[in-house]
Amino acid sequence: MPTPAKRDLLPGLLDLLILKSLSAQAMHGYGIAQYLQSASRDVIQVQEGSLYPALQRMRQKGWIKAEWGTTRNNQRARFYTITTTGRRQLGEEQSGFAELIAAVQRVLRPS
Amino acid sequence: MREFLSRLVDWFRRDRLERELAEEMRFHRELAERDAVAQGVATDDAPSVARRRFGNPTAVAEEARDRWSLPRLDQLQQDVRYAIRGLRRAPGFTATAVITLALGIGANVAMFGVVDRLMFRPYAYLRDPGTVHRVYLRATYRGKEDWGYGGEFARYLDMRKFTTSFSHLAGFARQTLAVGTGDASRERRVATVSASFFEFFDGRPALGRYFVASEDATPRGAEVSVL
Repeated sequence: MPTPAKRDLLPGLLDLLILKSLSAQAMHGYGIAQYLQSASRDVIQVQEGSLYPALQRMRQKGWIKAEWGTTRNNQRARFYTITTTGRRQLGEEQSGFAELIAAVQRVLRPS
Repeated sequence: MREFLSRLVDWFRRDRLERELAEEMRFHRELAERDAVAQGVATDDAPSVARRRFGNPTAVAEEARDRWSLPRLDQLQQDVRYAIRGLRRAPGFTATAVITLALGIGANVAMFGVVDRLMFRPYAYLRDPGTVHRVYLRATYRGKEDWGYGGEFARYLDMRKFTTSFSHLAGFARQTLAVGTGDASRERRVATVSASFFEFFDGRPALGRYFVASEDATPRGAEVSVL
């Protein structure tokens, strides 16, 4: 089974992706990882080792909230929801990222 | 600032956060194992596959722990604990230090209390401390300036007669006199004051009354005293 190449995420990009995932619905950590993997067609495989520290950091910044709940299979899990501050941050980071990508592409364009 | 506050809050509940993180990661690994099995990994291999995907759980916990540790606060806590242990091991030294500090602080507090009351606060019972002043008279005698004037009764009378700047005037002079008769006589500090002196104060005499202006007359007024 050919494994898609794993790509390292640029610093700060993980925050943006997590915020984007949570903007649709509340998710637990594993859900976020799965969502990112499937939404990116297996290109982005979030290292859990960076996911949970990132979630803690974002919670402390007030972008997301963490609450314990139960999954559909009745398992206890910590669900993360995006806050108003988080949505504002998402908007800023999204436009910032778009600018960055456009700039990088301008540089990479064959002259 | 906000982030620092929540870090501070997290520092106080870091034990709980750590437990929660451990539970969260356990849950994560369970699901990863389940999904690995669903994707056709042999059941025996699933835990190792999941673990491989998860990375080193200790490292994850370690990194997350950084999020709610405040190194300075941790160090402070350690230092305080270390100091308390040391003090407990040397009770004599501790007692000496505590007593020294207690005496030092106590003496300073007492001194401050006295000085504060005497020098910085308006006198109790004074009716309007902000407008009460003491008048000093100055005289130049043979080219030398001298402050020692102003104690004479005549000057007080002059001032009462010729100045309009003050709403009230009172004269007073202090002396140390013998009071009493025979063996019972003692040296006491006595002040002679004008009747208007009492208008400056709110205090009432505990017994009887103060003397009034009509009793304060020259050359010979009533023989009165206020104890």
